[in-house]
Amino acid sequence: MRTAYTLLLLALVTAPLARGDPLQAEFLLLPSAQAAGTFDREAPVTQVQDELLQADMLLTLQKGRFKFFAEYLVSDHESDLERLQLGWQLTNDTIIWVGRYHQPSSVWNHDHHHGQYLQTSVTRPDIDEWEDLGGILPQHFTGMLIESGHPAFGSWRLRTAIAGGIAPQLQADGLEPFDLLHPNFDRHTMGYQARASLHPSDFSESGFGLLVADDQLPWAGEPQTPAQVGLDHVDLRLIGAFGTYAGEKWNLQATLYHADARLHYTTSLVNDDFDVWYLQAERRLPHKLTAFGRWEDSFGTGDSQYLKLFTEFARIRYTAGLRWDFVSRQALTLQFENTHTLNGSFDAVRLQWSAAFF
Amino acid sequence: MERVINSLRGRLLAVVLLINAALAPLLYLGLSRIVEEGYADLFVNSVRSYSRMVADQLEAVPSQDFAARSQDVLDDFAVSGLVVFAQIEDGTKRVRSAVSQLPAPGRGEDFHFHEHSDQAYYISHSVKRDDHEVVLRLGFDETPTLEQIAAAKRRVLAAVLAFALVSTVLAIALSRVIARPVVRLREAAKRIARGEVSTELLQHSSIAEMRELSHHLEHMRRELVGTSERLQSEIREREASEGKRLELERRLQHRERIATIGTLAGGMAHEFNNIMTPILLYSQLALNGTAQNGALASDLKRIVAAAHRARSLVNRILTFSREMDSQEARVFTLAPTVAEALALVRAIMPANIEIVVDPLEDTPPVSGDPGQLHQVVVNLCLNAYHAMRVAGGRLTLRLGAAEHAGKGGARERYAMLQVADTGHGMEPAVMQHIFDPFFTTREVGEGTGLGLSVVHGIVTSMGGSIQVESAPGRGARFTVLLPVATALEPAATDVA
Amino acid sequence: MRRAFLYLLLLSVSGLLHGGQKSVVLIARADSKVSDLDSLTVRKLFMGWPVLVNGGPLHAIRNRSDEQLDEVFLQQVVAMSQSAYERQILTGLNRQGSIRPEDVTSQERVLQELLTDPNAVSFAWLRDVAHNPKIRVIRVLWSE
Repeated sequence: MRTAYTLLLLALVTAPLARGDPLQAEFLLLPSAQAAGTFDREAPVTQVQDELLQADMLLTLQKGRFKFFAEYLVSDHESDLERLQLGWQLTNDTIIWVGRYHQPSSVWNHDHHHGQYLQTSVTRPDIDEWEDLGGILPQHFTGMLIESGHPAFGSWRLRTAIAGGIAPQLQADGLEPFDLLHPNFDRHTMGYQARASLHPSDFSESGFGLLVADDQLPWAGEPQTPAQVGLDHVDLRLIGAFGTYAGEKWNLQATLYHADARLHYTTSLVNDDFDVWYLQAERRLPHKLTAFGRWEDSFGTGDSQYLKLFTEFARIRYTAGLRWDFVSRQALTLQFENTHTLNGSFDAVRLQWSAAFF
Repeated sequence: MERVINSLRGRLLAVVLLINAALAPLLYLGLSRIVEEGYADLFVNSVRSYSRMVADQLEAVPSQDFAARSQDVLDDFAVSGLVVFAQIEDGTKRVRSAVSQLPAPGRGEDFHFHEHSDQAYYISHSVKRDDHEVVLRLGFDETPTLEQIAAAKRRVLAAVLAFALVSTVLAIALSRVIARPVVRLREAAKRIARGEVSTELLQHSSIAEMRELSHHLEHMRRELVGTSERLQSEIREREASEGKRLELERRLQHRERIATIGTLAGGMAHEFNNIMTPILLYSQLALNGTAQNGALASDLKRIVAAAHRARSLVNRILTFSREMDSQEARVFTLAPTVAEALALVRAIMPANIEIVVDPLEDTPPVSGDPGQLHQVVVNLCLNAYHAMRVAGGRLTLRLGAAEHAGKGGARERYAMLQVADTGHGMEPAVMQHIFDPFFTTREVGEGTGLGLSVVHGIVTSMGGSIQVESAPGRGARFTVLLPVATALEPAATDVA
Repeated sequence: MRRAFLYLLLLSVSGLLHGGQKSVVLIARADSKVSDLDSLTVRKLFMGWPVLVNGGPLHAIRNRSDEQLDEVFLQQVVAMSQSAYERQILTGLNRQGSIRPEDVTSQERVLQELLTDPNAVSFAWLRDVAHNPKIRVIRVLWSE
């Protein structure tokens, strides 16, 4: 099974390369280093991002319409093939990807992915956190992703993304996505996501849209908490709305998620739903400074059965900071956080250096 | 001035001032450049995007409406933001926004912020129409951005100056903090150099190296002070020891001198005795054979008497030369012997000399020959008599007990005999020789110079000592200390 | 219509040459299938977006052989500052795995790249390419 899988993967990778188009390559390195500390700790678990040193590497190979795209992350916490996508440029505005991708219903992750330099704040909203850092929503799927753009309402632009693929498994320490390098074919189910947004022009970052997801998350671990005992799988449905304003001086980004989870135990079914939203504002200042603040909040998370499957979740978090792009493609960011988790609260301060090299 | 510059505080301050002098201009220039670039980038980016957007919108205007609407479009854009000039050039035909504030530029467009001195940034875009292209020309006012840059640079300058000022003030404060323990150390070292060796060098400083340095210096000081005190104590002990050694040496020399003279005198006395024996013997024989009332008998009697006196003198010399080795040593108390000797002394004392005897308390017993002690008392009293016989005076005798440090350092008990007079006293130079044999201050024929030498010999032979205190015109006081007899000796006690 | 536009373009190019004006033109290999690109498409192309022509993606070459040429490119083609352009390129690389326009700092290299790749598109001063039969001017991007 493993050999056949590998051969299939190689065939998919190599077949389009046999065409006569010139091969183009691109490599991007996004390193970052962070110093973080917590204080006023009144919570048993303090969510301090433990990837203090990391290097995110992106490689693109393009030959004609075919595209090979990989993102590999090396950090003090892990080294993982985050994305491996084989793409086919169907038209100028549509590309079809197969492989491991970031699910499109997370606007934040689809905009910034793993690289720290391109996101203004040091941390991402907790609802969009990666699985191995305690994230509660599945982010990495293996399957197919179609991204497209269409003219709409005159000069406006409709951008869409739909995807379907193997969903992460639920384990005792959280979600575990399908690993292409070390595949585990036991008990995997599918998840589907879609996102659609309207933008004033082709090049505009401003816009607003809707997102949906329907993921089945199978239980594949040894239960360690009461909420995990007898669990078979979770049907997780997400709907949400988001909006972005990218002006000369201001950048605003907001997302609202409504999560509807059905926890299928061997003898019972538990319905659960909660809402999470965040709003981030960024103000560009003279001297290549950018001030930012983010407000994350939630409803119905206090007694959520689904969230009890995870170690911790930040139901409220206030973040503020200042970023300084002191030289070309390098930035320093200072950030303060006040986090209220399900079990307590804590504050954190972070100082990060991030850069981009190509 | 040089002293200030060469001081620790001066140097620290100078370093900070030098760093400031070098850093402040660099900081100002660097930050100013960042400020300029930041503002220029913002300006250029926004005017480029904006003009592109205007061009795109003009391109989207339908051809039939273009002529009519272009003016309105230009006006709409020109009234907003930084646009101060807007014009469409269609061949020779030109449509200009009514709100244009600047005349049509006579120069080409800009590619860098503030490239020309007219404080306007011009951009031209080709706008594609159906069958030809028209040129959109927009002018943007650079003045607000220039003002912002100037204001920001002023803020930068103020911040850099404030930084320099604050860092200088901090440096002054810091230099005080750093130099304070050093200055204190210096002052303490000065006091120690003046001899105030108890001055502590330990300094309480937040600087670890300084704290450790003062700790080590204080440790050194304590070691040195301890060593110094030990050395001084040793010097004192050595000086005392040297004094004792010199005293002992002096005494030894004195004893040796006395012993030598005694030996010499003994030898001479022995020979003299041998000479005196036939003189006395044949004088006596001659006297026996001579009529007792005759002149010859009288002369012979005088010869015999003189011979007896001479023999007596010789015997005394022999006694001295034998260092008074008691042949009849026994344990006795002083009071009876002294009383007996005193009775003899009273007989020869003139009326102008008063004899005062303190109550003769019974003293601890001593070991020796009571007869020799009798001679000691008599000789001391006769010595006093000679000192007072012209002017008269008072002779005082006292007995008692005393404690003094013995040879081993332990305190030992002594029987004390004191004889004092109110005579003419002695010069210190005289006092040094009074125990020497044949030393006398009297006229020739008035004394042999052996009295006090005999006293010294007897007392020394009994294991005791004799001290004299005197000053010219203030009399003299002789104190004889004799060791108390040990417990084994009382068997031979014979209280006279 | 397209033929008429090309004719007008040639005329205008000819006029620009004789008039001594400085112009920046979009260029490709003489036998390139690229006939015309509107300003929006040119902008997309040089911002790393995919532009397919006859089934194949175009390959953008950023001519950085001349500082003023580069400023014309930033001002007229992508209409942004260098730093904003870099950020846009980075965003495309991160999100889509885009291939950024190749930076070439020599005019000769630019022409070589164009001659070896039929899908390559670049820009240059008109005076540098007007008399080169192997290079075809696609459109005027800017003229003084």
